[in-house]
Amino acid sequence: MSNPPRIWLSTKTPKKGEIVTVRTIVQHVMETGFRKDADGKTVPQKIISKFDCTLNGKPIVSWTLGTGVSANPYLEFRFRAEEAGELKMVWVDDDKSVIEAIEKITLT
Amino acid sequence: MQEISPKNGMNSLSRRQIFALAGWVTAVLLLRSPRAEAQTQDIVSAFTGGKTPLEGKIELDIPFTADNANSVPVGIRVDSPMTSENYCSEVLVLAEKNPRPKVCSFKFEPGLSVPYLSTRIRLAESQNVQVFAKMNDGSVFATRKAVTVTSGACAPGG
Repeated sequence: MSNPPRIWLSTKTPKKGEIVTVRTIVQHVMETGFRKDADGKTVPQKIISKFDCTLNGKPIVSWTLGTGVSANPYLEFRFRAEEAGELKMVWVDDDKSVIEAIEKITLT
Repeated sequence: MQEISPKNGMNSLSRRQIFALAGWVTAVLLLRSPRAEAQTQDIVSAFTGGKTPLEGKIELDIPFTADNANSVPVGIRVDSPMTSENYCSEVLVLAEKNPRPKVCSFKFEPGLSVPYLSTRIRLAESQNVQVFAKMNDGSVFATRKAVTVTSGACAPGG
């Protein structure tokens, strides 16, 4: 959890209107709540249930995750670079803890 | 001398025990599948709003066989101009035989969003992976692909 998310952008300096690809991966167990530990006790559910990406506060993609998403959730998405600014990505855990990442986008 | 006495081995199960076992197995078979099916149908109808999904518009990229059911790559692309008059607003990924069939969903807005995604999902067993896409006019498109897994992501009965 302490490791920052890994983010790759096809370009941080797109032309206006260019489509940018973003790949993100964040470390998280995504515990389903179905597993049992060695003592036969159910391991409680712990997942990232929400991911949001915005550019200057304008929504790009909002992802609602269930237990069917793999551990260390990976997401590749695209957006249209209509403006320069802050690309903000937020992962929200079941327990409300938040992981954030910001990338600067400049138009060329 | 080698004869097995009827009171030993397999035959030692009483008739009552056999009936109890058979009843239990039937109950499990009856309860499990319709419940999961109903659950899937509820999720689908909540998403579609009762509309019949149409074919087309969705490109679903998923392997036919998945070596690692804990991490099956899924790529989704919806054919939509993403203008404020015509855009894809929501995408739903469903694995009907997972303990929780709703895998994940995505929301888009016109303007900056591009309805293209790639992620990795878990599959409890071999099954159809279904993808639904909702447009801003309420129309729904759907596609499905069968995926064979060589080992399930979840223990049975989970």
